[in-house]
Amino acid sequence: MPAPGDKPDTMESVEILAQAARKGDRRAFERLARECQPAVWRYALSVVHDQELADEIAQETWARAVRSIKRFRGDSAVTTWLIAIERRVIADVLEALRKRPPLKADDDQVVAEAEEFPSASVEIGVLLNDLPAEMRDAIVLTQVVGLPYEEAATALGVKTGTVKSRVFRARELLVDAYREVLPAREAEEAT
Amino acid sequence: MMDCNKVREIVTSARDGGLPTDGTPAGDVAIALAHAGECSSCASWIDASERIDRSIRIGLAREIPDLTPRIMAEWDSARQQGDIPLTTRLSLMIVAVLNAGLAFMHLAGSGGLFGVQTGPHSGAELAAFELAVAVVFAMTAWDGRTRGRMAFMAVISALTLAGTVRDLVMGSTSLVAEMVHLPVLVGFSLMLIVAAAHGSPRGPRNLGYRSDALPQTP
Ligand SMILES: [Zn+2]
Repeated sequence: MPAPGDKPDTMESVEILAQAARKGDRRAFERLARECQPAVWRYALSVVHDQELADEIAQETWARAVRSIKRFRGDSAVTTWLIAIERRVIADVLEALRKRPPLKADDDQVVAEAEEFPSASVEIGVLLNDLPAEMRDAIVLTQVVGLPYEEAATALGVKTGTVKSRVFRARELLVDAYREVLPAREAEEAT
Repeated sequence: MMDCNKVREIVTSARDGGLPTDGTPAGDVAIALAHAGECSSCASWIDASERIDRSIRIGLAREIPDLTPRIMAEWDSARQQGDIPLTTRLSLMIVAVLNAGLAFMHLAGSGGLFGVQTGPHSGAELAAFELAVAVVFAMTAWDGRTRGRMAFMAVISALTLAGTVRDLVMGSTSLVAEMVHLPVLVGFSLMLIVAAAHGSPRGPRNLGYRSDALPQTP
C-alpha cells in the first residue's frame, strides 16, 4: 500500500520484509525494524514528551511486535499495524503512570516537557501538547509518522472521514494558537 | 460560492494526499485552489498551516535511539521459545501427567503402593504438592518458559533428592518406594535442559515508568 508522497519504494519493501519476517526470516525483521523505528519512536514521543519513556514504549512495542508478527496478515500497512500495537502499549503505560503519585510539582513538569523540544520549536511542542488527544494523534500520525488518512484511520480505529476532520480541526486550533503565540510575525498576515 | 473553511480543508487535505479517496469532486479541488489564489485570508492560513506541519516534523525529528540490538534480542528470545524439541515437550508432558497421577493416588489414599503411608490430611497435602509440580511441568511443556519457575523447582528437587539419598543410606526405604520421586527429578532435569538451551527467556518486563513524564493531554 503506497503512501502518497512518501517514499513508495521503501513502504512497499517494508511490506515484503514483513511477509518474510512472518515466516521467520530474521534478517528481514531486522531491516524492517531499522526502517520503522523512527515512526514508532516519534509517535511515542508525541504522546509522552519524554525521551526515556519514549524509548521504553518503543522497546515494548517491538517486543510485542516480535511476538505477533506470525499473525500479521498484511490487512493493513506494517506501520499501521505497529502503531496499533503501540497505542495499546501507551494505554498500558499511562494506566501504570496514573496509579503512581507524581514526583514533581505540575509547574516543573510543564517546564520539563517544554525543554524536551529543541528551542526552535518550543512553541509548537507546547501547542501540540495543548491539542485534545484525538486531534494530536491524527496530526502526528499523518504529518510525522507519514500515514495516509486511511491507514491512520485503521490505526486509530475510526473512519477515514473522521481522521480528515480531526486533522483539519487540529490545524485550525494550531493556526489560531500559533498566531496568538507569534503575534508579531503573523499580525500583518491575519486579516 | 465555497466558504473559506471548506477551501482550507480541501487544500490541506490535498497536500496530505488525502484527496483521491475521500470523495471530493475534482471540480471542487480546482475551485478551492482558485479561491486560495485570490483570498489573502485563506492564502495566509494555508501558509501558516504548512509552516506548522514543518515545525511539528522538526519538533519530533530528533536523534532517534537505535533499538535494533534490543529488538533482535527480543526476536531471538521469542524464536527460541518456540523451538523446544518436540521430544522435550512430550517428556515434560509425560512427567506432568505422572505427577498428576501421583496427586490422585495420594488423594485416594493409595500411596501405600509405594510404601508411602499417609493419613487423609498429609495425603491431601502431598496431592497439592504433586499437582503444583505437575502444573509447572505442563506450563513449561506448553510455553517453553522456565524463568520464575526454576527457583521453585530447584528447591523442591534438592529437598526431594536429599530426602531420598538420606532414606536410602539409612535403609529406611527401598529403591522401589523412592521411584515415586522420579517424575519430579526427571522433570526438573528437563527444565534445566530447556533453560540451558534457550537462555533465560524474559517474563513481563519491568518498564521504568516515571510518573513525572505524564502527558498533559490524556
Ligand atoms: Zn478564503
